[in-house]
Amino acid sequence: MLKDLAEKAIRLAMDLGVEYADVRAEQIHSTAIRLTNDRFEQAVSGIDQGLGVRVLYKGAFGFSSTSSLEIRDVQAVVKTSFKIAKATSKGVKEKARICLVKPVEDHVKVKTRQPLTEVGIDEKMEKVLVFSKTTRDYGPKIVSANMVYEDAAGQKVIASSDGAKILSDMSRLYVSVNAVAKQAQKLTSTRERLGKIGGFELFNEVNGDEIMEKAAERAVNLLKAKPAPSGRFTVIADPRLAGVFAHEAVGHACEADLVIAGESILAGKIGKVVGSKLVSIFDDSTLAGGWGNQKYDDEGVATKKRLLIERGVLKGYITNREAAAKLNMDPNGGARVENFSYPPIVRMSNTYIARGDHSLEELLEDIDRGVYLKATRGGQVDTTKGTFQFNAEEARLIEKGELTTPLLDVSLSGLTLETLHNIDAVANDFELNIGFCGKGQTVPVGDASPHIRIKNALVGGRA
Amino acid sequence: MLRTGIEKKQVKISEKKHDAGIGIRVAVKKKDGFSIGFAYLTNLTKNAADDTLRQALKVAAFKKPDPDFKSFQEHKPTKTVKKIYDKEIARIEPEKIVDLATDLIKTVATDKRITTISGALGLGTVKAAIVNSLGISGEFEKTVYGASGYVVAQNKGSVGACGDSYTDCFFNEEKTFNTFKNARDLALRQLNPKTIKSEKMDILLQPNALASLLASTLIPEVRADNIQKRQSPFIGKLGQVVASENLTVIDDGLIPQGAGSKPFDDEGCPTQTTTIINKGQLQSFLYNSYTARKDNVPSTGNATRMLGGFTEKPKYAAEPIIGPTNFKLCAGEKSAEAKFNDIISEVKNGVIAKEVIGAHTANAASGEFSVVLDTAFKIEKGEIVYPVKQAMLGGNILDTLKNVAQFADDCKQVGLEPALISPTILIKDLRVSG
Repeated sequence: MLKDLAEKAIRLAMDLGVEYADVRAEQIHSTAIRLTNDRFEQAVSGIDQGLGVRVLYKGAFGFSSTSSLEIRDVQAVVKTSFKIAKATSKGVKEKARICLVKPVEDHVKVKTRQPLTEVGIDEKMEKVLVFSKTTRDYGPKIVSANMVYEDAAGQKVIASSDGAKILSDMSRLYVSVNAVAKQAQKLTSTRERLGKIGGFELFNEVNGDEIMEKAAERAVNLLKAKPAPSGRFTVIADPRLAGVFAHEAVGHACEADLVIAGESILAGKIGKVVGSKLVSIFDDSTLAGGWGNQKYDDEGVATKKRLLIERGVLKGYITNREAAAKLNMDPNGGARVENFSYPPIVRMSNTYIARGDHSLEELLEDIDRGVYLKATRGGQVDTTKGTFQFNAEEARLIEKGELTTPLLDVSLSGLTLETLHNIDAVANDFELNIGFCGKGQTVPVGDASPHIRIKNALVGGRA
Repeated sequence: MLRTGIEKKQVKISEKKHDAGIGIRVAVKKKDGFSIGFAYLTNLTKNAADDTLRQALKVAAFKKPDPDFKSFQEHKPTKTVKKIYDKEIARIEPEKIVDLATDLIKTVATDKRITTISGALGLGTVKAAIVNSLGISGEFEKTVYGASGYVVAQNKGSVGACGDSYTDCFFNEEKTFNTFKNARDLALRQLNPKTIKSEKMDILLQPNALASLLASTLIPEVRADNIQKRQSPFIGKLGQVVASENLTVIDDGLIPQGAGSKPFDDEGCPTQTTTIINKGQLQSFLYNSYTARKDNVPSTGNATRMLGGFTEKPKYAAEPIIGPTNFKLCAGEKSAEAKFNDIISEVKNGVIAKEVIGAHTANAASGEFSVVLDTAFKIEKGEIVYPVKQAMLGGNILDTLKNVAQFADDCKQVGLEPALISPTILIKDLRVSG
């Protein structure tokens, strides 16, 4: 039914004389739960449905969406999309083009042993309650646990005027815990997450309670942390922080739309040395266990593993069909949407720094005085200027090769290119993480990395 | 909602969205109290509504009764809010916005050093209706308009970039042009920045910077739900001095043309003017009906339907929590108000920042934050002397508010709901790391 509607919309658009059209139609059962301590602040479920049409007319894009799947509303959004593309075409100087690809027809299935639509919301709420209890039972210093549960399951259709017809089963779920510890006037918090593309069987595969306890343990340990020094240090970033660096500082700058817009420090640098020889970075939509995986992107293009930086040399960007046409590159499946109500834009999938060949001990041993940064509360980046800033969740002082005093509220900031050059050791471990990326639209992404060592990095603390 | 996007100095795409839904909340009476259930629908049919109601009842059946829940919001008369509906916005055709975007690009692209102009113009109409079994039956319609511009300038290897934005209930071409022109001027002035020494100095935070910083610190920290959850540095501080006597903070849902203005909140409670901090003294938190009953005070009309978290949903798909309407910072004393240029001229050693980056990493439970000052300029002996390369501001929001000294005369509105309304503010003696 979704497929028929999407194809109908494509035909209607082509009848209006557009150069290209694509449609995304969805019907997704979604659940969102927020539990703080033992109170459900949100226990929300519903079906999100709708259809979005994008057309290209005289070099301009028009997009329109509706949350109704009634045929008359679909007809209306096709007309609106055409009308606003036509209006927009009057302001376009350089006409947009779309790279044509071999059309794909496919039905993408997700393996689930326990489909999310067959698990009642009460069972999901019970799971979240148990996780909350595990976290709070860790010890008296844990004063609260904030739980988030989200899932989405249903179907999505992508169709395009060049013949793509892809029906994808969707099923993903996610839990995060934020453990808050308190002692005297000091409050600390840490976060752990688990999730997968699949069904409720996640909780049989992963020991969720262990993950909750880990969050609680880390929050309690942080109570002993002391204010951090500020200044330039040799730092070691753990896989979580380094993964976020790969995503925020490098991945965004490799998004071809930002490159074209003149908003990337990596514009015009393909083939050039942008970092240390030890650094290779990929964005891979097909990574085993990747939270950002997608077989086809939201323009119906098959996705792949994209090489961004190879041994310090910039090798490629993440592209969609429009950016690929403009840059004379191949589309590599980098177009994504948050949902049907947004037009596709260039996004990352799972971004990671490839393994090196040192152990963590080797990274540590010749540091006389440095800072070890672990995990992050988030970060932000200016891809134009090539600056970034991340707040570590935990940190330790490094003295004479040993991890010593735990440190509180430490941030790492710097210039992306300078930092890439200053990476002087990459460990042989690796950790895959799940996250979300906002760029006007929020999409699930993964990031990963081994431990990395950065010379002369700017650390901001409060001591 | 209609939105036109500008990318690389040209109009790129226009979008129009229509979204409608209904959320159903039920309170089920059990032996020892009420349990609340909720579910929503976007397929607006009778059958879907029946299914949704059953789903809401299932949630209520599972939940333990909540001893703090007594009832939903009762009916109270609302006040009229002036100027929240702009007839022009309802009539604007996409061509007009595309033409305006084209003119903006022409006006701003006056200098060869400008390599990028991007941004968006967005406008829309919001219709909200709330009906409950206690007699609330309200409806309103409002319009929103927002303009955001981002300009990049490059010269001999140096890059200067600046974004600016403003929001309103009314469409205004002049303010739109000023937003883009300001982004251009500041981007050009950002060229060839210098690093600064780490030291204590005076900081001037402009409205966009304040909006970013407070959204992750003060705003969540004065929400009554976070106080009751014991996740705020303001716990137990009601009536105490928590900020400089120069600072007054107000939440006002009735401001004419306020982007966050509306006659009633997302539970149907009338919005009002709530003084949160009066001349440095903490006077009130922000309440919805649930948290207000728990503290035995009246609701301040701050129920806001939002999920919180990464994937935000439309209002109809979330249960009410708490959020500001228009969050306004003003001078506690007349003597703390001054002209923008006069404030600058009195600063011996300081920095002025248009924006801060990374505020969402703040710890709202403790009030600690650490941000990068963006589009920042060094001030020495009363004059803006050069753009600052990379500087960080870290601290605790409580210490920061205690050092608030002066308010400039450049009041502006940033963000939709909540909207922050504030001028540039001078904060004394903060530690900046270069």
